[in-house]
Amino acid sequence: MTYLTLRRPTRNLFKFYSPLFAAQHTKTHADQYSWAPSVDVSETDNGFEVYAELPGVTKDDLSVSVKDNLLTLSGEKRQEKVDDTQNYRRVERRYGSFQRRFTLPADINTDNIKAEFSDGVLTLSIPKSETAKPTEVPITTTS
Amino acid sequence: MNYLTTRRPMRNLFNLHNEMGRIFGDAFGSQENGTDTEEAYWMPTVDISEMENGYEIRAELPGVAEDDVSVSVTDNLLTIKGEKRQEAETDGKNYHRVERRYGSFQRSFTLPRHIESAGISAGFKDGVLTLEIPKAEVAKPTEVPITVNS
Repeated sequence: MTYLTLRRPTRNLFKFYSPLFAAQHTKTHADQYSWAPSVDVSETDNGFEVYAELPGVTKDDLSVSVKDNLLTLSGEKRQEKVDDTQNYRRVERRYGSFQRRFTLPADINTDNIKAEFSDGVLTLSIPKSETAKPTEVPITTTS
Repeated sequence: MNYLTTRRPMRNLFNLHNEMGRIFGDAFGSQENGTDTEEAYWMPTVDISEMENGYEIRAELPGVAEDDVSVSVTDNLLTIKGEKRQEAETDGKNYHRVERRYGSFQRSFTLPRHIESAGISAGFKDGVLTLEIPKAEVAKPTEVPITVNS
């Protein structure tokens, strides 16, 4: 008995990403969501920062959640309407619902994640837990 | 003799884009000519719509500061250009993922005739640049009265 299976030529590519902040793609991702924002992730000694490009998305149409170390950005981008006589000549921008998920590293403080949204860029500051921060070990000499 | 040449992997894409623009060439055709776009590393995505009273261009420029964008009109060619800067402090930062594009950008569009280029207004909100381009009062068809001499 044969089943029809979806061909996902890029699926193997995702396996090579580093597991830290690895993007989580569900099977039905492409069917459900029409676009995905571009994201940068950086790390410092104190924590991580995630920057997502969401031009034209309003704050109310955006949600950020963390569950079981899975960070989810989701929302919807709506097309702006000027008036009834509006007729599109060129449409390159993507609209509709979006979602992106990332696996968070283990040693982070999920209670203190901060989110800021300005100029169409969402910035998440994710602090590391105290144990994850590098600590200086003092060296003493015995003479 | 060998010269060091700058690799511009995007150039062919821009050319393709230009070619497509020519094929579908009409008002608001995208004009990416070789010399100008050599300095541009990315192009913003753009929606263009026409209303009864004018046109509207919306360009996505997330993370671009208002001072780093310029809009100009010369000879019916509208040009949006500028630069997207990566954050100032990158010291001590280790990037796990970089999907966003940085650097200079540029896009030009041929404006249709019968527009008032002096009346173009620009707004910038939530990373989207909105240009409003009013249509000019086109000479309305006038009725010529015919008198019959009898």
